[in-house]
Amino acid sequence: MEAKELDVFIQGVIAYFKEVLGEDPEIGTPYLQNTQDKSHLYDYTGIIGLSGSYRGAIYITCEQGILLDIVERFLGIKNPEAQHLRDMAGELANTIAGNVSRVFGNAFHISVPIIMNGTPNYLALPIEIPAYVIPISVRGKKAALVVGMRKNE
Amino acid sequence: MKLLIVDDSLIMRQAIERFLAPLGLEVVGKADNGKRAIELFRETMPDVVTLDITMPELDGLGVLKEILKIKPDVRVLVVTAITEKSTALEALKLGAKRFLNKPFNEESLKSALEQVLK
Repeated sequence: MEAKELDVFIQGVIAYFKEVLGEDPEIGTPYLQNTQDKSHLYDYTGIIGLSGSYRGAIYITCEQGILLDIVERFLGIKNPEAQHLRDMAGELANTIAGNVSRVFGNAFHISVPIIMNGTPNYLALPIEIPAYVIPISVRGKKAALVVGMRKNE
Repeated sequence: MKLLIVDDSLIMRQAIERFLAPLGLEVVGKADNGKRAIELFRETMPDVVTLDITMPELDGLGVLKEILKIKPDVRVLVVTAITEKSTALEALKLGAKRFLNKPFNEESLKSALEQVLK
């Protein structure tokens, strides 16, 4: 995966939070994922599979507080049910993956999201492709976007 | 006017209903997948539909083709995270009135729907 491709996702994350929460997130230095390291995994995770011109997957994993802020923005409620937070994790992953399709073209296909509730002990992308972790901080709350994809020959 | 909201995200269905409430539309149904959308469309015969693209069972373009066969004058606003141009062009070619990218806010959604209703 090239640095310019990773940058597309970084710009997508920045644009999302700027639009929805009205502020730029802080983006940490991306690093290669070590599947034994779970320090970047948080409370809710939305996973999107990629197919077509690329194969692989992306996931966004968030502390609950980030999802509470986004849900409040959309629904105007401060104490949503757990199903709202799960759903928001999936929708966040779907939106970031869908938004980058303008760069990767019409054969960049995204799946519906798979959602995990609770910090996983281990989360590897389903195929043997190097994945990069993009650390994110919004209003002091942490998240990470993990991208592992390869262009099909 | 009767509105059908189609999106596989619970939050998005509720947000669309909340943001569009000031327009005074009657929400006659909310569907979380393409197949259910067509069932609800037949039951309620809405005047306007907000339609997601990436959904289980049947995607939004498949839904669009079916509902336009049932009611050719239905007004459809496609609301999707997909920003790739050919998807938008295909939706418009099929008969959608307008295409709005996620993430939306209250003003952008209301403005897009008002354009669809003109």
